[in-house]
Amino acid sequence: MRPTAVAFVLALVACTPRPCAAQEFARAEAFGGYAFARDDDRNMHGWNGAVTLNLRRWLGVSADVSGQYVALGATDRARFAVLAGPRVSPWRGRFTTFAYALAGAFHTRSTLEFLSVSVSEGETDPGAALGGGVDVRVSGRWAAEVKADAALIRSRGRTDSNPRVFGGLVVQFGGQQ
Amino acid sequence: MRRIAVLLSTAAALLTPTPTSAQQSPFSTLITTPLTIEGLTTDGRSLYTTGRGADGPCPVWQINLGAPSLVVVGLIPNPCSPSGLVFNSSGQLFTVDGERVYSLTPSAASPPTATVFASGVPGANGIAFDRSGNAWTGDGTTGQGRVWRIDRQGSVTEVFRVPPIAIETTVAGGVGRDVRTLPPGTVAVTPTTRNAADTAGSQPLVANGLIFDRRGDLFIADTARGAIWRVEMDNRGNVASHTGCDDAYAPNTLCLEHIFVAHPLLEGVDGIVFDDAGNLWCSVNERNAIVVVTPGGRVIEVFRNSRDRTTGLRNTGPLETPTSPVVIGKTICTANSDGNRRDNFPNTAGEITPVGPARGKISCARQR
Repeated sequence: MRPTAVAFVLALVACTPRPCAAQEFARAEAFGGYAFARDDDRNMHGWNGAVTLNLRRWLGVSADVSGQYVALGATDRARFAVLAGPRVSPWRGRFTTFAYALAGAFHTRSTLEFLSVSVSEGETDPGAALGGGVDVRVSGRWAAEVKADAALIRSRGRTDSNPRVFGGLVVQFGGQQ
Repeated sequence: MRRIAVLLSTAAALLTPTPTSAQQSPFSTLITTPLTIEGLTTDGRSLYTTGRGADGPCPVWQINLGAPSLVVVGLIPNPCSPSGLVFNSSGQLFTVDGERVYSLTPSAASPPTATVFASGVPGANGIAFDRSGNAWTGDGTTGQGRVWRIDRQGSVTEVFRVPPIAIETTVAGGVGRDVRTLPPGTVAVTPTTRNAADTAGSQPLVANGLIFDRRGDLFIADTARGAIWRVEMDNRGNVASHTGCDDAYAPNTLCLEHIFVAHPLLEGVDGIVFDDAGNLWCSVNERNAIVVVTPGGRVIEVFRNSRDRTTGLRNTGPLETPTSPVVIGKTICTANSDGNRRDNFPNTAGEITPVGPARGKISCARQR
């Protein structure tokens, strides 16, 4: 049994595509950068991080977290999102375009401080993000990325659509063209 | 050693803040007015209010927040006792008075006399505009709870009713409750009873201040119940909330499920306004208090006059019947009308009095 297992592992290793050989896409990509969002007529600024596991040359699965902040008079508001879903990249090259459809949850936390009153209130709502963007390879494993989407948030019986724009750097793991 | 201890305790006593500075009110008077005022609004830069009960036309005043003074920017024809006022999206100022709605375009150089925009809204008190440019007002102290929509042409339609405190039936005087405010009402306090000693102080007002939120839903201050109603609107501005749950009321009466919050802190709630974050700020006139309702429905008292230790009353200010709030950034201001009831009774105390020279004022507080 043991020799069989060893043989199986060796076969698996031997058959696994090597990074520098015929691999045409990275196994995984990590994005980090700036995030901008509109909430009604208000501008929010913050951060975004995402990890994509590429299952095929054209198909990956992304997990995405972000946070944006705004001061509204005596209230500080933060909105966090945890989303996941498919990401497709029909064309790969120096410029790689992609589109994604993510679903998950949005958590909005508001903290009002006025005179001696300090009250914090949070609300978690289901939501989704539909969008796309482009990667521009900078060098080696590094690329610059811009993306934009519409965040659809279902809150108190209604669905609000909020545009978001992101910009940052991508580092690729596991394989190179 | 003992001398050092004495010196230390003396120094500590000198450095301890005095009770006066520790109890300093966060609300201060921005400006007083020679006439009583009730409504208050803003164009984002200045405050606007109207004098009531003038011998001639009632003035519309503009007050600069940075350098406050009363600048007349319009006039309401006599006889007049205007209450709520608000700008529409075109910069035209609307105010309600009796059963009329007046409009004018403010001008300091040549103050115009307001013209009648609409009539047939008896008791009109608060006023607000929806996203389609329609004005909405409620019937105030008439206490029937009627809420009207007034289109751009000034045509008036009764859209729905807030349930009145008492239902009109075959029983003389109706069935329900009579909320009474003490003073001016009084009760006969004995060891065994607290029954009414008179009929004064009845508070039937259920459709007072109103305001739309960012989503287009209408919020209404229910003074008698100490409640805020939320009336949902569809995308076309029509009422989506349920009416007609109880056939004892008029068929267009809101169902009770549309009360957003009801809380003792809101007893006597008058004017209401949203800040940018969706918090609803309330001038609670009968309690000389400012209360905020969060988007999630939490009710928090931001400020209430402290009680005078000698008289046991809260009528010396800084708030003296706060009626209408305005939020500009981190500053909240409220008009004060110096009513002679509940917490502000007797209204002869405080900075403003019925005989003047100051009969109304605007108080502000700023978060630092």
